[in-house]
Amino acid sequence: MSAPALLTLTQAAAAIRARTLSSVELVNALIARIETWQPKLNAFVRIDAEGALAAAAEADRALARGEARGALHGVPLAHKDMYYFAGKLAECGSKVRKGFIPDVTSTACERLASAGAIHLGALHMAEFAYGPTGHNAHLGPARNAFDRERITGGSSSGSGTAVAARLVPAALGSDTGGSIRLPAHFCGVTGLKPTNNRVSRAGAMPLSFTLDTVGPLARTAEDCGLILQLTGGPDPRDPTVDRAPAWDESAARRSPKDLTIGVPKSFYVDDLTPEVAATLDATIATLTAVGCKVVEVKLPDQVLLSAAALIVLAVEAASYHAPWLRTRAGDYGPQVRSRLENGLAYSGVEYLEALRWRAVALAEHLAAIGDVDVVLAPASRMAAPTIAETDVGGGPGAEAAIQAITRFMRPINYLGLPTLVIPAGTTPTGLPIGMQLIGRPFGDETLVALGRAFQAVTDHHERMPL
Amino acid sequence: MPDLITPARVAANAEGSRIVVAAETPVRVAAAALPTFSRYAAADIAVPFEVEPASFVVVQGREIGR
Repeated sequence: MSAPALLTLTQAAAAIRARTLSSVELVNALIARIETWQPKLNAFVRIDAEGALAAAAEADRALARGEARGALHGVPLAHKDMYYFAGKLAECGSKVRKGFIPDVTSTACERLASAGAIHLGALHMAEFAYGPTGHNAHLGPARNAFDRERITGGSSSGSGTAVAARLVPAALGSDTGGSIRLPAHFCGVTGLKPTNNRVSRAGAMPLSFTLDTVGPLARTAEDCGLILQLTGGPDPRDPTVDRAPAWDESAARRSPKDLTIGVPKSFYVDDLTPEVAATLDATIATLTAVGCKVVEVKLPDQVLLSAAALIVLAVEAASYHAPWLRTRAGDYGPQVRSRLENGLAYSGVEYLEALRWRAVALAEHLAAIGDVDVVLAPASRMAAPTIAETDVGGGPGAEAAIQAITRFMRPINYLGLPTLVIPAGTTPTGLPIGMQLIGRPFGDETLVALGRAFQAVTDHHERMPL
Repeated sequence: MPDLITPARVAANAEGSRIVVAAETPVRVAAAALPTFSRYAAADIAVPFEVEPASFVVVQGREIGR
């Protein structure tokens, strides 16, 4: 067996169930890796080694009695520090919420715990999940496990780098404007932004009630599918998921030969670095080789979708934070404060027009892709830039720099589409490159099926930092 | 679309929201928002009269079980 910390989520859960690995052994292996890597990566904001070991010992005892709790019995996870656990800190990468202890547990974490998962700690994040790079004015930057001078991407920065370094087999992130997909791309892990209104957001720190999604970063598409299966579905605490369909395992195992992949003619293929362009070509070749039909698609104007997403996000974020902007503005980091203030640019009419257009825009997108099951696109035009060159603070050039990084993200958030980022290549210096598999609404299982097929014939997802 | 974003408009929105901003903030915010917003405003998107924000859920829901 591989060293326990190197197992995927699915492998670790199976080994514990088969009792070829104990939960205590796995937790100890991860703690040992965390002790080595945490000073280099700044991935965790809190580590609950003692609590995790106690829970692991209890999980092992329960299993010895024949009492398995669920699919993740005894498997340790850690999550972005914005998921509430009743009675535990959830500081959201901020000074404003320093010392905040919620009295509820997030539905997603509650469901993972019900499946037997153990909580190992809380992970680094951009302040209030409002930043795409992994910088944080209060915590310092999280660092990319493949090159510590480079960004992790954000806002689920700790989730990306912790999974890449094998400090946890999987972690929850959140995605409002790319916050799962960018760290997955830059850190070389698999990340699933679910369809909006599929996973309950109850007990997760909000940023934009229209655009927020809760989803996993893990090593494989299979692992992401397992987390989505466990966390998704209706929840009385979040009425937006009332109509969320049950997980369809047969769809998650469908053959790639049944799938049509659309490759955009513009926008997502413009101005790519040579490495990203080559990775896109190689991914098309691989998908063709596994039996997919690949066609070109002409998508509606993505720049307009992106602009609408920015308006919705800016206004909703400013609305959430208005009370603190009135009373504690000095407690925000410069960049987050400046981005929150950007919400003051728009009128109520403009905000609601952007919100009303969303239904029309989704219908136009679906008409444009026709019978295409999945649209393939790069996650970014480039691999991870350095921490220094993206340290733009809150000054006049900050918004343009941020928009450059999130360019291929926002249209997807606006349309509420599910998207799986898969590691698909590397630069000559070894930096990961990810590709987006963009699905149809509630087509999350199809993405998992395609991701599985891709990862069955490639090994990009197995690369790990030295 | 109404008028494009100006520092005066940002300052008025801030005041109306009871959020105190630094003197230079309206200029910065207008400059940050204007490039994206100008393109969006120029498209002059006409949303059908009957469409409301929740219409999105209706369109999205048609895909369930596809």
